[in-house]
Amino acid sequence: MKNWLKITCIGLLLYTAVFSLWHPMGPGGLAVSATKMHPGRNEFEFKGYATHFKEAESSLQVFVSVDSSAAYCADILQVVDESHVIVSVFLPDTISSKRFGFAANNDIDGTVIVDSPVGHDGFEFVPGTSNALCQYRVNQEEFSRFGFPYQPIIIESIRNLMWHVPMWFTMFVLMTISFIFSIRALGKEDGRVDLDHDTRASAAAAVGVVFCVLGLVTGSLWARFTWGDWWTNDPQLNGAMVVFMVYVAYFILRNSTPDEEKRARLSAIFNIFAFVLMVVLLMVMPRFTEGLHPGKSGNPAFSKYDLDSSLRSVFYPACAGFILLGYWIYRLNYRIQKLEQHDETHA
Amino acid sequence: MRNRFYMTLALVLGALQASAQDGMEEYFYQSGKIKVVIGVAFIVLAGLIIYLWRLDRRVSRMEQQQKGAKS
Repeated sequence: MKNWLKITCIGLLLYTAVFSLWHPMGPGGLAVSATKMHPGRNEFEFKGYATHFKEAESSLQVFVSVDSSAAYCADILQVVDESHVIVSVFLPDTISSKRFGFAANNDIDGTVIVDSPVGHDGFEFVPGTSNALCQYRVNQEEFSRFGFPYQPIIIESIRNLMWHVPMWFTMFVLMTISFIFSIRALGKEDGRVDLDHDTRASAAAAVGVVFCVLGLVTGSLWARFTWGDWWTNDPQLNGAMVVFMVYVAYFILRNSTPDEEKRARLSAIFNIFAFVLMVVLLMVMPRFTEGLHPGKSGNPAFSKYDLDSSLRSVFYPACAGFILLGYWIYRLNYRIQKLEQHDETHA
Repeated sequence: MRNRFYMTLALVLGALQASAQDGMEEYFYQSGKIKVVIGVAFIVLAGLIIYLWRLDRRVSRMEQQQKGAKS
């Protein structure tokens, strides 16, 4: 591997480490303290995240929306700090919908929304009635928000995107290298197996498995604090685990075949199937099934909403950096393996 | 020597888990789950370092063999 590539790799990874952690979060609505809404005066606290309630106090509005066309503005606002405001809102006896939404709006953050279900007590629901509306603004698009996009539940852990996802990209690249060398190992004209290409294939697969394990473990930790469990029965997760096991089986197969020629031939064929299986399980299958993991048909992974330009500006360098690192480690592994073989034959 | 190391590791991890089950929840949920990111970055670094350590050991073994062959 060329030195300038190594330096690029280090630079990209440093950039990733710094910006994935230092780049600020964009504003969002975290929670409201209210559990039940009732006719008359409702007092509760609106909690924002990375918002500027104090700084933009003069333009701050908080409102309770009932359906898409009706909202009730809070008429008493008491700003505690940048992310806390205590509000009081008057609701009539008759309203048009049972779904309450909460939003805050100011000139710095735009509109931040809290979308958690809140109970109700004593209302008469008549669809279509929309009385006592206030003048509220909803402007989400106008504000060029600085920072990573806020997403409920995920919040700061959106930064994991730059650590967890490149693991899988790197594994893909390494397994592709492994796959190509497996094919080439079998493709010699005299019908023999190319042992050097076999060594390359196994060296790449070994590093690929390391990245696969890292992807699984980091994903598991992320899942624990997003979905609430270390493992969920999601096609993408189970597929990844199966792929991991298949590649472990590849190495078990290699270690249990003492004859060099035979080992190279068997493992090359196994590897070709393993690669196809990986593509099917990780790239094709999840798109046709339902699950929690992003990347589904009904839940387009990192679409224009999820992966905005601020995320991309760190995510792409992170992928490039980790792929280069994976390639670097693969080259090291290959060279060490070569030296070991050399030692064995000369010992 | 090796066994003792793994046993100590297991004991420490077990103790940590037992004592920190509630603490861990709290720890990871605080300040917008930034600690989850720290944990993930730590896992990535730790994993890569462990693998590099193993590569290093293989090189050392070869060096040792070379020394033995020369003398």
